[in-house]
Amino acid sequence: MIGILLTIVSSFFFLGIIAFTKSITQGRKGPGVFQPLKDITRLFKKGSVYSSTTSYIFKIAPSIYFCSVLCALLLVPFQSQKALISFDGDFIMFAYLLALGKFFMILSALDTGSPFEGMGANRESLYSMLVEPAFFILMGSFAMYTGKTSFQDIFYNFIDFQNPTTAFLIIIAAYILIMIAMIENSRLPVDDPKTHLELTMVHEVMILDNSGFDLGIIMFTSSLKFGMYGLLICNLFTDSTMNLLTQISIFILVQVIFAVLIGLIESFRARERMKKNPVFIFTLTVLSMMVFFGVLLMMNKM
Amino acid sequence: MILSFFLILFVAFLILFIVPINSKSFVSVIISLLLGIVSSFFAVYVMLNSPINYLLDDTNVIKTEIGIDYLSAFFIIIINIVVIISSIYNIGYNKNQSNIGKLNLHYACISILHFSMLGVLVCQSFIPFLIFWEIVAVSSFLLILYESKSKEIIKIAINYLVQMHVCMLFLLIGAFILISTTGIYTFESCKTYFETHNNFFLFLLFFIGFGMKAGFVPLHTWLPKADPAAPNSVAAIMSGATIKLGIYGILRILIHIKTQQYEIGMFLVIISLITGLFGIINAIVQTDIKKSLAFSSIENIGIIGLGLGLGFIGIAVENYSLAFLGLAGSILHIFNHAMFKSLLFLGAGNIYIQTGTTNMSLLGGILNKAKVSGTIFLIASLAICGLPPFNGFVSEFLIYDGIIGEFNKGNVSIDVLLLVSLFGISIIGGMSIINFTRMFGMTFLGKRRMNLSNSEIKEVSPWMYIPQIFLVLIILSIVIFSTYYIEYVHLVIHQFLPKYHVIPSEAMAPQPQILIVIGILILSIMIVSFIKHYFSKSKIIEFGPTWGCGYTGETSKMQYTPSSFSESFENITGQLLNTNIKFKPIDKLEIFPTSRAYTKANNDILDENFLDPPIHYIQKNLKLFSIFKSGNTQTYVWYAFLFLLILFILTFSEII
Amino acid sequence: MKSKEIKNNESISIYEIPVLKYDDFYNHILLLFKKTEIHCLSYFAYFKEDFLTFICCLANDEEKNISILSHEMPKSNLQSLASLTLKIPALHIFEREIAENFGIKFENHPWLKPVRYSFEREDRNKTMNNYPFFKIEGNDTHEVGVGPIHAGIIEPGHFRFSCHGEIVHHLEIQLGYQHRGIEKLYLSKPHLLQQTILSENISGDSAIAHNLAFVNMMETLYNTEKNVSWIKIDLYRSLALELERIAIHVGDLSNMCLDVAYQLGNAVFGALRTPVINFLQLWCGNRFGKGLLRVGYNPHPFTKELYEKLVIILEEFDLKYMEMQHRTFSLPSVLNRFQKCGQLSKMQMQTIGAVGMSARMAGVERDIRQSHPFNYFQHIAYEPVILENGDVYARAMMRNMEIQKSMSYIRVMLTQIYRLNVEEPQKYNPEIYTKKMNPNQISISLTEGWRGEICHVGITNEEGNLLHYKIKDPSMHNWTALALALRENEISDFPINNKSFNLSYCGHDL
Repeated sequence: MIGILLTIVSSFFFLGIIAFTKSITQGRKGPGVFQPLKDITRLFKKGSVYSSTTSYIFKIAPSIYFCSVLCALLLVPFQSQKALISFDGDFIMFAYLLALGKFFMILSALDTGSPFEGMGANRESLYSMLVEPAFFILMGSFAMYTGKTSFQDIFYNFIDFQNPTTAFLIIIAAYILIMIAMIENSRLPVDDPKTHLELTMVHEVMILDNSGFDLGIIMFTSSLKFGMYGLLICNLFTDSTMNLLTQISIFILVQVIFAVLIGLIESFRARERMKKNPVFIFTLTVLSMMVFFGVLLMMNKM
Repeated sequence: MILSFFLILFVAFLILFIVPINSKSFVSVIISLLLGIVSSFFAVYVMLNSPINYLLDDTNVIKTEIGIDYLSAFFIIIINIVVIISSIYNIGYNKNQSNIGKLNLHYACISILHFSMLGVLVCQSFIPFLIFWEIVAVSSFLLILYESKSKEIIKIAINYLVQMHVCMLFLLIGAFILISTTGIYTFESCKTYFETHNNFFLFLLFFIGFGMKAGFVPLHTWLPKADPAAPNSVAAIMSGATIKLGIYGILRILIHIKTQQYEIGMFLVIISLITGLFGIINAIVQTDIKKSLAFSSIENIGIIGLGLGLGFIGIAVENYSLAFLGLAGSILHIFNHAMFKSLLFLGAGNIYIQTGTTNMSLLGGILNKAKVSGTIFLIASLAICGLPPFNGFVSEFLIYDGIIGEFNKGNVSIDVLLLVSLFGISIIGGMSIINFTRMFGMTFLGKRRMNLSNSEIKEVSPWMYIPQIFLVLIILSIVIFSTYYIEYVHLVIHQFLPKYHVIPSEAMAPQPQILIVIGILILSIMIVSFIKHYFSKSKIIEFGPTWGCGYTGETSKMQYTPSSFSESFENITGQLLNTNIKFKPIDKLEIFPTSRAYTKANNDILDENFLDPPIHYIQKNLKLFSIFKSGNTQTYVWYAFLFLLILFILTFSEII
Repeated sequence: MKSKEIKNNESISIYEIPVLKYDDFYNHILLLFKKTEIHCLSYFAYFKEDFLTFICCLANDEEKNISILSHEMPKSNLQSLASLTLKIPALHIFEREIAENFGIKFENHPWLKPVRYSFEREDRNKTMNNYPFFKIEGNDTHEVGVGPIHAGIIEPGHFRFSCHGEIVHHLEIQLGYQHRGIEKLYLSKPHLLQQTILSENISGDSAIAHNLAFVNMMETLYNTEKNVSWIKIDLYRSLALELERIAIHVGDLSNMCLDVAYQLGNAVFGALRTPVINFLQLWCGNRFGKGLLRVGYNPHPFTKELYEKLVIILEEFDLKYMEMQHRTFSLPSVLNRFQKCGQLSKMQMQTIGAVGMSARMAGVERDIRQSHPFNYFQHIAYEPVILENGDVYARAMMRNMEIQKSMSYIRVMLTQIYRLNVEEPQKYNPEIYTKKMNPNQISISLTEGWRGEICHVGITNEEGNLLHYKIKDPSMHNWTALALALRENEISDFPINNKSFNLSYCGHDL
């Protein structure tokens, strides 16, 4: 429960920290950390414009998207603090819940009949297909290492910083999770939400016709997703023997570092060419396979 | 009693030919209901009690043994649901069909197909089994021909018939080997045979025979041709029920194989992964809904086979949680796939009735005109993608659970196999999402891409969507009562184990928790919708055109096409596809391009390079097949009769 | 003699231009175009008395002169003509313009489509909404229409992509939304100052370059006396032109970084543009140099303070700029996006008659500063920057190198200004506003703006008023290059390609 609350709270700041970091690196004063949150509340207060081409899918999709992420969040533990619901194979459900949200967002993009949004939908569906195996294989490797199959048990039995190999694997795993989060949220190097050009974006172009409450909830879901992946990564670096306060401070630290890292990446590099994205994303799967074989080695199976 | 039942059935069958054209469909429903209720009664009886076996006559040369065990019962129920629903659907679907001869043949064939499929399931001895198997093939062949407007369809139907006989040939050889070495005429002979002969070869023989029916790659090539050619209700039966007979056959053989399960499991996993990947990759690039659905059937056969293979590996290494999870996932997926795939084909039928085409490039925007059909198709799409809260998730979850739960138990080779399976099933899952968002999006959402008929799209008649809603209810029941369904599936699984084994606790999937999450999901969606409603009550809600950058001219072509949607996917998977693009790119120095067209066709790479040449050879060189070129249905009926006669005579003279 | 040769900023009597029959006219243009150093400056028609006169100005870059030839057609009997575009695609836009304005049909023109908004054209049934776009047949490809309202802050224009998936097979650009009838305004606003202000507003980002062309030409037509101190005016004008070049190029680099999502480059280059345009404001009161140039005098003297200020600005700019350009052009992720993107060949650019930096980045040597020098460039031998690649990288690099080149020339000019021992030119010359132009003259004025060659043609009538005024912005030629660059490229690379050209909508639409 604490984990979920912390994630929701941290998602209020997350996008703000990214924007803040970016403005600092550019030597600008930049907006406050709360600006994205203010934008979202402003959107909640607004009316909406719907395209007359759209059907009910367009209207319910944002809600389903939000709820799918919220439900997925229920399955993620916060180290010693148990997840609200935990069962064997819950990370399968986690991935499928996220996929459900994405399924509806893709449909809602196609619902408008706009070529831009079709383009976004096409890219999103392709990238989420490519990123799926990376997550499963990573979690599968954890499952193999711990002999457990739920988030809760995996993270509970996981940490062992003494072993340098484990530490190394944890770093790779964290990298993979960060990259998955970046792809899921359509950030650099796969996508750049700040260009505001219809032809180059992935996620942003899908929601071109959303407005008001719907747009607000989509943006909030986006930051919630970041918070959720932050929580997952935080689980990699905490130990169940730590007391709650330490865990919370590690959580905050992980979230802030995560956000600053994204801000820095977005400042100091350009985005990939669209054509190269599939290869880039697929590399994550290869990396997670390396984790898998690393675990095999550690278990002396190879 | 049984005799009187057959009499009633026969009378009903005859009535079918004499009643007026509008009542034929009802009579056909009555026949399938008769068949369905009676056979389901036995099936349910078996499920609740114990298998039944009835030896018709041991002295007879045909040596017929009729029996229903859990496996048969399971398939009987699947087939009855699919056929009855499709028959009811036919009432609405064939309303405008006025050719009485065609309709007679159509309904008669559906009844015969239903009867013969049940026959295949209850016959435990080879010869009647094969006879029914043949009738299944011939009656579906005639059903494919139903809408034969073009030579193309006749060609496809003949191709189907030829391939079915190739598969028949393998089965005959297999049966011949079994009967001649063991002298037993029932499937029990497998048991005896495999106990003494440590032979992978025979399994392979049967696998080719049955796998051809099921649609395992590379034996699948008839499926993506026959399904689109057949009328939609028939396609629903073929993809929902008939190809499951192939799986049934494989399972029937596997029941008796108690040795070399590891190798067979490995073989199944590998071929299933290939099947699944190949199926879904090809499904994504098709622009015809039915063709895409047919390829997606191949993909699902892959998932079924994957679960099966994993289960068998589990049995072989005595890892019973893997065995139970894999087999339960696989067998439940057979049921699930029958439900949502027939639902999808019936949905394609709705589209066909509404627009006169199933080509996605011409469709779009149906959902706003036909909410019920659209929503049904959406539910089926979500289910087939394995997304919660629908039934596909339940069975795929079992397979996933089997894979990840077993990682740290086995040796390294199993681990690697599991890794490959995990990779395969997860990427298949991702691709299904591409496929069905594309299919649903292009067909039901956005604007109409091209209107050929100019008639407004209307909702189909309740005769068509009410049976579909019934299927939706079954789909939902699988989610809500998943524990009960899995319990019955476990009954089937026990048949495969060498001895009775208590189901390990890990193999009991966490259904209650899944249900809780699904419950929370639905509840939260309702709450958020309510909040949204509350928030927007006082706000201005406007309607306007989709954002088009302020352009005010003609925008009809400005919408993503299905072909464009799969372009980047094709770029990645290009090697596995046979994409045929007819387009001359505009030259660098062709400053002002002259008019040109872009056409793309995706053919089956294996079909053209692997199976087509020999079959073409057969078709070309065997004089026997030249009679098919006539396209006359009666010829085919006579041919079928002739073939059965030959089979019968051969049996009598004890040649096989 | 079939054509008359003149120099840049020279005027001749219109009667000196040989009038040819269309066949001769046609053949002679074909003959001239055999040489690669020939390109078309302007080809237009206007009503002179009872005739519709066609004038074609072709520049010879080697011999540094301009050939003018003409054809006449009686007003009462307008006929259709054989199209030159089939043989010389570079002329397509001019023929389309003539066809649109006068209803002359060019036979076998492969691309006879509207050029501009139907506000004063011959056939007003052709509206923006029924523009005949090129269509690829079949159900597989789709079209994407972008504009006229864009996501970025750019001018209106409609881009129609014929795509299959992510790949663009054809791009067609429909412009004309910005059509204001500027050329007609020159005739209806007789006052010279009005005309000067019009020239400053042809294209906002080339205010100095366009105005310079106008001012130079007017000085020819008004026969302005040029005394010793005129060299200072030339220096100031060239200095302003190069400052404009630097400002726009560096701004474009910033925008290109934005489009590949390179935040740092976007921010730093964006910030570097500010001191340059602020200097222009300090000089003349306008950040874009409006009001800086006037016919016959120099209203804003370049004072000692300005001189010192500019030296400091340049120094700071140089330091920061060199560091940032080094970073940007060595960052792999940026290079990855720039290189091999939107590549054009020299052959293509020659065929479409591209000019300016768009031509030079593909290896076409075409720079007015060298071939038809004006103002201070008459006194030095300018050496243009030529690149070969023809991709986005080449266009970015071209900007980078031109900035550096301009900086070095500005330094030279500054030393000249400092050293020259002539008195300041006149601050105001009221006489010029009362004089009449030489009657029946034609004059051509070329300048090399940052985009490329700008060509103004002025024709006076018997009373010494303007009879016809013709403007050609480099974008007229170069829009086609953008369309070509996108072929078989990814649609997501369109914004970066578009920015790399940064063509003018209003310069084209006039």
